[in-house]
Amino acid sequence: MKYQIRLDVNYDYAAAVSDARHILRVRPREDAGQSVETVKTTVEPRPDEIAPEHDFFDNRVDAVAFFSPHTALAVRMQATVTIDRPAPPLSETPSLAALTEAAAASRAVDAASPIHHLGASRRIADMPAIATYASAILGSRSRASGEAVLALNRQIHEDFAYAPGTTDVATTIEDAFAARRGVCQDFAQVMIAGLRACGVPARYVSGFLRTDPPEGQPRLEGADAMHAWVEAWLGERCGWVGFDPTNAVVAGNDHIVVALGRDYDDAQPIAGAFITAGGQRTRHRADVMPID
Amino acid sequence: MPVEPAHLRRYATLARHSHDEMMAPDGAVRPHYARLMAALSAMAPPEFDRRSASARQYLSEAGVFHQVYGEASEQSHDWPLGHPALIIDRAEWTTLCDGLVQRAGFLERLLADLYGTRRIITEGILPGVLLGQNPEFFRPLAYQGQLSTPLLSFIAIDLARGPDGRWWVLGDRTQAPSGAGFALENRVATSKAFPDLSRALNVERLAGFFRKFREMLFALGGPDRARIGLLTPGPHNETYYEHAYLARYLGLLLLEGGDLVVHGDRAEVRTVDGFQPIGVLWRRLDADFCDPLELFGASRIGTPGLVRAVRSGALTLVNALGAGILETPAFLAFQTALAQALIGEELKLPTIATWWCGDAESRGFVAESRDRLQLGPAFPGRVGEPVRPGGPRQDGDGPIGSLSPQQGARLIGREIAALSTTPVYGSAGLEPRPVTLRTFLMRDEDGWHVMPGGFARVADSADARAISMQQGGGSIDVWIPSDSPAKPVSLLGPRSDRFARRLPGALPARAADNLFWLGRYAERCESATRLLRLYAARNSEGWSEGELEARVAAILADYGVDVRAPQRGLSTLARQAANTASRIRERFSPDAWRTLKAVVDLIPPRAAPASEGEPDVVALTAAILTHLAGFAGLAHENMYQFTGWRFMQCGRALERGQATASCVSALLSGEAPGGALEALLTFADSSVTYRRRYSVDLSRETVIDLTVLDPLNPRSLAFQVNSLTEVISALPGVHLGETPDLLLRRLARLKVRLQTADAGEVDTAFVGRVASDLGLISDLVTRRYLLSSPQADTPDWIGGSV
Repeated sequence: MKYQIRLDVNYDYAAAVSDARHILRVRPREDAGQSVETVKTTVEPRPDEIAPEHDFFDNRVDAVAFFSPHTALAVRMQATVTIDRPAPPLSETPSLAALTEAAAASRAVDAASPIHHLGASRRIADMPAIATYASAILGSRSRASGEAVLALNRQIHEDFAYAPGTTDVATTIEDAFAARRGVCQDFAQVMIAGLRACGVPARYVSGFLRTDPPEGQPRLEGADAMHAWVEAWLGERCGWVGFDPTNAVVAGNDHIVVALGRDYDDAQPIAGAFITAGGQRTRHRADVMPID
Repeated sequence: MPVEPAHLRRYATLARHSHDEMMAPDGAVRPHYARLMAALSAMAPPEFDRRSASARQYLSEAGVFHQVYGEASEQSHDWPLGHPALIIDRAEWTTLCDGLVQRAGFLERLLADLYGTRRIITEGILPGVLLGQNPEFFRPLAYQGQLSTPLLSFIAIDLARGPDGRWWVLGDRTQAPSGAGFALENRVATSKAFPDLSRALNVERLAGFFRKFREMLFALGGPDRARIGLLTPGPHNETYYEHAYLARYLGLLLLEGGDLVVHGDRAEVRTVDGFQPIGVLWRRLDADFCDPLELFGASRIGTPGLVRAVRSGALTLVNALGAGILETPAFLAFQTALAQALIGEELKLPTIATWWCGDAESRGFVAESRDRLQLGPAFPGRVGEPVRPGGPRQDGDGPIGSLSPQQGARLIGREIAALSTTPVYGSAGLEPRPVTLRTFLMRDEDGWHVMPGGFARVADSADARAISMQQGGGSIDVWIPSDSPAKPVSLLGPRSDRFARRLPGALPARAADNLFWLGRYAERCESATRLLRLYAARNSEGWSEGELEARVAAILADYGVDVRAPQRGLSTLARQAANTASRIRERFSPDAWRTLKAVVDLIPPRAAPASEGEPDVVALTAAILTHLAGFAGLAHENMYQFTGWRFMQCGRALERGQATASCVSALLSGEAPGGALEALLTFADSSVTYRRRYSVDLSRETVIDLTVLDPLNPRSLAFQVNSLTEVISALPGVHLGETPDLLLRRLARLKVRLQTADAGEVDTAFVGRVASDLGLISDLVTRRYLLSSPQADTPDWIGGSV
């Protein structure tokens, strides 16, 4: 599937901002199943520094700095991306028991290694209540891990209400779990916490969804904005597989990966640190159109 | 007598349960303590008391204090120094040093591997989980081991001596080890108390170690990177005193995260003379807080972009960000294999036996041996981690056996360290107290060097299980005797290098800001005190509450001082000055700091009973004024009169000018009440001068001439404007002969106005204009030199997000 993607993010500041630094993670990743044909990022006002880089997890990053006062910031990303992601062989994955053992014993140290995605991270606390919840759904330790994870993916979708506006980036996983509702980020974090508590390596993914569904299919939740979902590590052979608990689907050819990491902090589309005396307002919009 | 035979017998009884540093199991004094014990036996009690008192006095005068962890009230405490020092036998020390140097080398390799190829993981020596879940593994710097900059240059290793008489490693301190400055202060204080003893024992000096350290820092900087900073979390940190002390001792800039900015790949200091590059920082700030952009996003004390500067190699931190990973307690469970893989040797110093509960076998062992072991977290602490209600308990009260591997991975069990005891004077003479020893090492191009001494913590009680490095107790000096007299070394005069008088480096904007406000606050406190004295004196002389008193009370109210209960407002003013001073303690003398602190202590917290209230206020104001005059004198006489001093003078002159202006207009406006002229003269401390200069009776013109226009009266408005002109003209970026900017133009206009005015034309409006000009000048100075950012009134880091 080939897509034309456009992302617009705008910030308005109540008071002028100076000495600002940002890290942009808005360009799609070059990954297995995903090839980027063209990509262009524009930033307004013109930054005093801009450097394209890759971070530890191989996300494409633009490091941006402003040294003079400005009251607005606009980031636009346009890309053409082809997605060709085969369906993962979920039933041929190792048992949960074998998988967790393999993960804990992994000697890989590269960005794709499961060792980075076990245990709590700063934003995804390890919560006994979620552990209990997830462990019951994952089921027997001899079950194929792919099927077990798929079951959790489906059950979270069942148990949680998709309710935009009820949570924000500062909502803790405890609160979202207790309320059983939230947006894509909350769904993803609950699933990651549950998987990690049971020894399954899981990471946070941010990216895009196809805006308009193919003929006859329902429109996916979260398609107008940047979306978040989960990747679980299902053994050496299968590797990382994307699961979208918000939509109860395996991430296939409608999902375009932009950045991934241990949690939101690693994959945050636009991170910033600056001095200002006032607050800020944000708008953002994503469009993902199939070509041909 | 400090040591009687009966005392020694009692000591022997108390010390028989552990290895004692001074006394052998048979009750004999160990040879390396013989001289000390002989001297103490011959010392009469009053003499011993006098000696300890001189150590205490030194510490208090030097302003050594510490803040206790977790105390909400940020109270500072006297520094608890005990006597005598811990003495370590020369030969034993040499062996110990071998072990320490070897360990430092091992840690260095370990760190380089973790931030390099991570071979110890790929080869299966260390479980990957201990890296992957480690909060001190900073992924933005995952390959920094491949840079040419050293990752580890200054570390501490905590030791304890076991019952077998061997020294054991309790843990490594590599993040931002504290205690070296305190060790130095303990040494100075102990040497003041027992100069004869430390000489007789040829105690090795510490200065040589610090000189080497300083040389190393400057060598790291290279010829073009001559500026070295000490990065501190700021005055709220419990070891801030030490940061300020070491910065002053080593000649480093004391910097907070907000003093730095990253341009391109370079870190720079915001100074009153613009941005100045900096290449080396001795880091006393925990790594996670250093950069809100790439590390802990909620940090308000970091520098956005700092990690970039490190990654590019343009900035070297001592130690590297992420060096704290070496403090991971679970690593102690893998010491032998790690040492074999990394240095191909066995470690000479044993480490305390540790089991990591991440693997099933150890988990089982720890579960079985629960009562003999102490449980603890496997990883170094992480900041900003959400609290987990009902989470698995890390103190391990629950059954270990039932923990999942994921929960076990966060837990270690370790043997409980039995400590040796060392003699310390308690209320009943010498007592054996459990002791731990923090040693310090630094690395230069010749390798690792151990500080000949250390920081020894002693427990409050004799219970050898009750001590931990974090809990109470006191500290004692550590003496390493040598065979030959110690060569005097000092940081002053490294050999006789070419002499060159150098001006101090550029002043960080934050330090200038604090100095400016210190000048203002000290003067503000003085003005309010003068007014209060005036008010109280008239009251006590029996003047009834009239128009003049009401006017004075109104000015005092503007200062936040309520004449009916003035202590509170006065205390706030004094605290403002002292708190501001405490943020820049490295920039002026301990004497000056103590004088300011004394003002705070002078003011009783609550108002005295009304019946005796008034006389007390008069006495109190007189005492405060004496102290403030002392502070001003010390600042004026002892401070190096360069940029920093100028900012302080600038603040003082502005404040005094505004105070005088507001007094003149408040007292003389409209129909001036009776006594107003005398009151003004009293406030301006100019009564004596007046009588000498003017033979006439008090008149409005002559009083105004003296308090507003006379350029020779140090309390007149004209005098303040003249001194402002003098100090501001000497500030960086002011070049005489160039077109003057707004600041200088305003100042010049004001000066001329005061020079040419006639006393008759000085009315409330005239004085009001002067006051508002002074306000504008203050704003211009602030905007040009002091603000870290031009527009931020309440600066705050905000993390942007989508």
